[in-house]
Amino acid sequence: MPAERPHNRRERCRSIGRGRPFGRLLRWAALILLTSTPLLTLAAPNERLVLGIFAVRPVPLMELRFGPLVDYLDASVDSVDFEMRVLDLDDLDRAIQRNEIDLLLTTPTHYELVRSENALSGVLGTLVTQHRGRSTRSLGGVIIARRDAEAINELADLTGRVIAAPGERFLGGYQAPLFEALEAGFDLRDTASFRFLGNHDAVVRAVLDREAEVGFIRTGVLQDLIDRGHIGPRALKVINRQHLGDYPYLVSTRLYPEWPLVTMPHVGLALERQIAAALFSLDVDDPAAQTAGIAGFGPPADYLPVERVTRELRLPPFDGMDEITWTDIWAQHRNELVLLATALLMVALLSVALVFRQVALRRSEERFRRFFEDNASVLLLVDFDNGEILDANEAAAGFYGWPREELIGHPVDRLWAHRCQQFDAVCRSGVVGGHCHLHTHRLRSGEERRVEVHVTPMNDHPDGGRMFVIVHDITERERAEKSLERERERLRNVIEGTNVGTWEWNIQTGETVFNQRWAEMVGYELSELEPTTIGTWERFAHPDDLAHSASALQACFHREKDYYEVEVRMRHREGHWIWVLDRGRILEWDADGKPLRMWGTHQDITARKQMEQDLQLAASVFVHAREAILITDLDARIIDVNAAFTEMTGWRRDEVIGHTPKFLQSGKHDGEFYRHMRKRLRSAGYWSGELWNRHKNGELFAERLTISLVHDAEGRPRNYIALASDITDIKKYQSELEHRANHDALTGLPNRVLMADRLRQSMATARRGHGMLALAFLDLDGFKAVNDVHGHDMGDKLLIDVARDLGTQLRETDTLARISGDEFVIILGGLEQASDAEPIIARLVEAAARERHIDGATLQVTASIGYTFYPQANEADDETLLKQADSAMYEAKAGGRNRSCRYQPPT
Amino acid sequence: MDRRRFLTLAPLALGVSGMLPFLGGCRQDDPLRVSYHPWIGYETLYLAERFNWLPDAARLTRRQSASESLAALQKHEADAAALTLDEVIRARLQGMDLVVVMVFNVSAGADALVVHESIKRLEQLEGKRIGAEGSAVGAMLLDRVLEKAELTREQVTVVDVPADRHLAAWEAAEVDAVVSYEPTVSQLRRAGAVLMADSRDFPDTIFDVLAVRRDCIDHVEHTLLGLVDAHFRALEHLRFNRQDALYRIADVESVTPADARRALGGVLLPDRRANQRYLSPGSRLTVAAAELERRLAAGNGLGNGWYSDAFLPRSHARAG
Repeated sequence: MPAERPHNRRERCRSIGRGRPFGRLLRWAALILLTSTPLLTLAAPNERLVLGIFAVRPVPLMELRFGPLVDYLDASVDSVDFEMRVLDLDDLDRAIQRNEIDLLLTTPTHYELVRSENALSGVLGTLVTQHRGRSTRSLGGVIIARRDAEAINELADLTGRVIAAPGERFLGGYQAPLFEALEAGFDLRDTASFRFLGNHDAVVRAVLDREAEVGFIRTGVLQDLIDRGHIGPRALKVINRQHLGDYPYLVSTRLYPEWPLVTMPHVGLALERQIAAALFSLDVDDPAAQTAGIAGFGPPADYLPVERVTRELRLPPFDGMDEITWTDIWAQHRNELVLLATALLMVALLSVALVFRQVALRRSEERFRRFFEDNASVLLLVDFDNGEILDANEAAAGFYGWPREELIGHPVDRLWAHRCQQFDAVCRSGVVGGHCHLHTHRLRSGEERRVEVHVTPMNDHPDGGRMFVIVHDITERERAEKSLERERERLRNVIEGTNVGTWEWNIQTGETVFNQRWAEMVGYELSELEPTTIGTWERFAHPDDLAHSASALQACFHREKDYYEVEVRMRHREGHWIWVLDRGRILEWDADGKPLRMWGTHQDITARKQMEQDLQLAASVFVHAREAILITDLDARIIDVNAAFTEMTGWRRDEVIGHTPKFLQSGKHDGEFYRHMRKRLRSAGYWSGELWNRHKNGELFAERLTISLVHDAEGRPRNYIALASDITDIKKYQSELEHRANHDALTGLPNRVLMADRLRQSMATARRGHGMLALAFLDLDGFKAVNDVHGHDMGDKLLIDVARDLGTQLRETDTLARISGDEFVIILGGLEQASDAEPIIARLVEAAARERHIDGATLQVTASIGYTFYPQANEADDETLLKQADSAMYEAKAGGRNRSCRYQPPT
Repeated sequence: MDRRRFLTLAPLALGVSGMLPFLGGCRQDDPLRVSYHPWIGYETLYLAERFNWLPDAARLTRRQSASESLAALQKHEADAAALTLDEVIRARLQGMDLVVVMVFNVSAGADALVVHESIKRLEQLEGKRIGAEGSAVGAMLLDRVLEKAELTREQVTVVDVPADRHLAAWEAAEVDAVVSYEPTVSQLRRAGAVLMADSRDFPDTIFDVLAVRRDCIDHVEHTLLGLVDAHFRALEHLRFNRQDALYRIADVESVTPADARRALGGVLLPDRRANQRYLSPGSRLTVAAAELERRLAAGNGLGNGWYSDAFLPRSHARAG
């Protein structure tokens, strides 16, 4: 930078602030001097375009630089004269406002600003700079300090420094370094003091002159000054130097697009195209480019990064969010704002609520703390996860016998006598609700105590669950409860075991309490009878028994008896009566001796009553039975006999008790008979039959006897009971009937039935080789005449007389039978030979013909006899024999009667 | 961001950030060691580091190649790494449980096969020496190229050359062809190599992703969120302040800004929304992964657990 420039610079600085008209005049003069070519072309009728250039460096330098570019444009674009105006920021803005500028070459930040105020047609191209053969479309900020400023080496060192910068609207010279520091965490606008000097050269000068400790400039300026020998290459150092490889300049910040060339809206499209074409075809070797130190222009870059930096830094045009009025915001974002306001209000309300809750919580915690410390109950605070005791109060220390400090940090299971399943369950099931359980805890002394443990899980702690535990020592209580319970159990068992109904009678009110069994006895559920009074009892009791009960009660009320006991009947639901043993006692009296309460029981004695009645019945049967009854034990010794027995046997009760009934035996039955009887009794428990016994007076009598083995309630054999009835008369009648069936009623001789039987027996005997028999058929001659003359009575008497005479002629073994009116059959057995029979038969004929005197009359009949023998040559049965004898009898009749005739087989 | 949107979001952003203390704040995470290597798609990490946008607990290590990153993961010297999708799938198949949490880029030309000028057609690769990074993306591109040329791996000589030696190997004539990526490809082309095929021929195949070891994912949750956030911030810078970004990338990769720009042209950089789409079931990323898995193994099925969109920034005041 030329040495004579500072004066100029300072003057310009002032002119920016105050002497503007004068300054502009000067610049116009300079412009005319320096740009002769545009002046020449002014004469032509060409369109004239003004290129405004931001004077980021001293104006003459800028004009010198960009003069050839304007010349180039003039030459390249037909019919347009270009005019260059290098202006400081304010003048440039004013010129733009006055629409005096057609093309604009300025810093990106200024471009952003201008764009925000004008509707530009846009960036035509982006400047491409070059340095030592390397070109770039990017610029950045350079942070410089004097090389000897040893305290300034990095961004952090910039805080608190005096920093020189060309101006706020410079990108490389202000915003880029500022942003870099901001990103690193330092807002230098707050921590450093800035000197704005208008252009980059002044900044470099200020740093070199120690007017500022640090300077912000754009890329390229430093190298340019060094190249041109204005400053020494080692006079300054670059802070926060970036390593960007091929980038031609030293740089301290990230890079941004280079300057834009902007066309104003009124420049036509055709002209824009021509200018763009000219700019893009500017060759790097062109003098215009060489002088300007540029490589030409490239396509428009994206200036968004610049906008963002400006935005982040809240610099114009993004400094004043107030430019957007609240009305605008309201109009555009009404819904969002309402939402936001609501949200903020909610947040605020919630915060307030939170604060209140915090305060309440703290108070509640304090209260809890006091409650915990001063509580007489044993209180513990236990960690869920590891079961550690987090806190314990004094009462806990006293109870367990450990000092508090030792209890705290103790695992809770050391207090347990055994594992606690409830604790595990609470831990497992998560944190829900309170639990209460019983457990056994062990004290330090080793003593075990039963405790009731109340556990309340608390999930208030951020690091996991705790539980609040209250421990009550219930050892004594439990002991008392257990003993009471045992007592109750015993009573319950007694009541249950004896199956009694119970009642409790309030004598004054009549209110009476029964138990379930009381109701069951009468077939009801207790609930069906409720409400129960003494009337309930009276309703069920038998009317006939009530008076008895009442008098027994009165005796108790008057203390004549201290015990009430009656047997009463009660009506069962099903209609029958049950017997109840009702017992009770008055246990409460008032001061005046009035009975207050009475307790008692009901016992169902129906079964007993029934048994009593049964026994009574049995006894009367025993006494009054017509049958003789004899009861023995299992050894057949007599226990009891009834009156009928004495009557039947002649033996008295006292004579027979303790004896076996052998004295009754008649001797008519052999040993086999009695063995069979005993066997039958053993196997069937029962014997029934007829036998003969001997009366005390020696007479025999027949009896029908039934002996039963009886068992007791458990089914064990216990007694023999014998029932006997005298059947002697029946026996006699039976034998008489038997005799009548086989004998002739008139003569008492065997009849035809018995005769046939005896004949078959005799024939059997003869067949077995014991001799022979003779069968004779006898018919009286003239008997019909006796009947006719003397009547049937006389005839009957005659027959009896004849039969007796015939019988006397026969042997014991012979049989004489009357088979009808006057016909007889004689069987003569045991004969050696036929001739043995003939004298007998002859005697029979003789005996029959005897003259008889009956009832004063003399009668005489004769007999005709036919006879035959057995065995015979041919087989013959009894019928054949009778026919043969009958046939022979007719021979005798035919031969003249009163004779006998032997059967002769027909020849 | 336009003014209207800014006005809408600014109070909300303020409100949300103001309420953060009430919402519980951030937990202190374990350090997150992130490994990456020079590749145009990963340089957002470098930019984020330069601008101090990374979360405090994130430690970025710039390694020479993907193989080194994988080795670092294997040795637990790194918790996360920038890798290609096929590297991730391969690593998973070898038993390393990696989760893809972000897509850096989709290659669209940046990976390429360059050949000696004497080779005019793909078929002429037969019998030639082809340099490629063994386990890395090169292998996959090579597979695809060979498939297209109807050649098998046995018909060529594959020389395992790490990426940082590609240029040297070419210049020493150790290879007749190289599968490489930008900016090396540009350097190789300047050294006389001819472009034969690039990832544009195989669209939606080569993804570069951020993969995290599952065993530490829970301990680095917040840092990971911050890291991904920083990536998107750097991506924005790359988009809106391209010149600055190019200079920086060129500087760190020791190439010209023009090379860097060219490399950038060879990749698609998905933004947050696009990432969200990629990290969803049925996306092109998952299709590519399934295809890879099919090629590499019998196909046991990857399931859905190998990627997660949980670390993408949700509603983002800074975006736009």
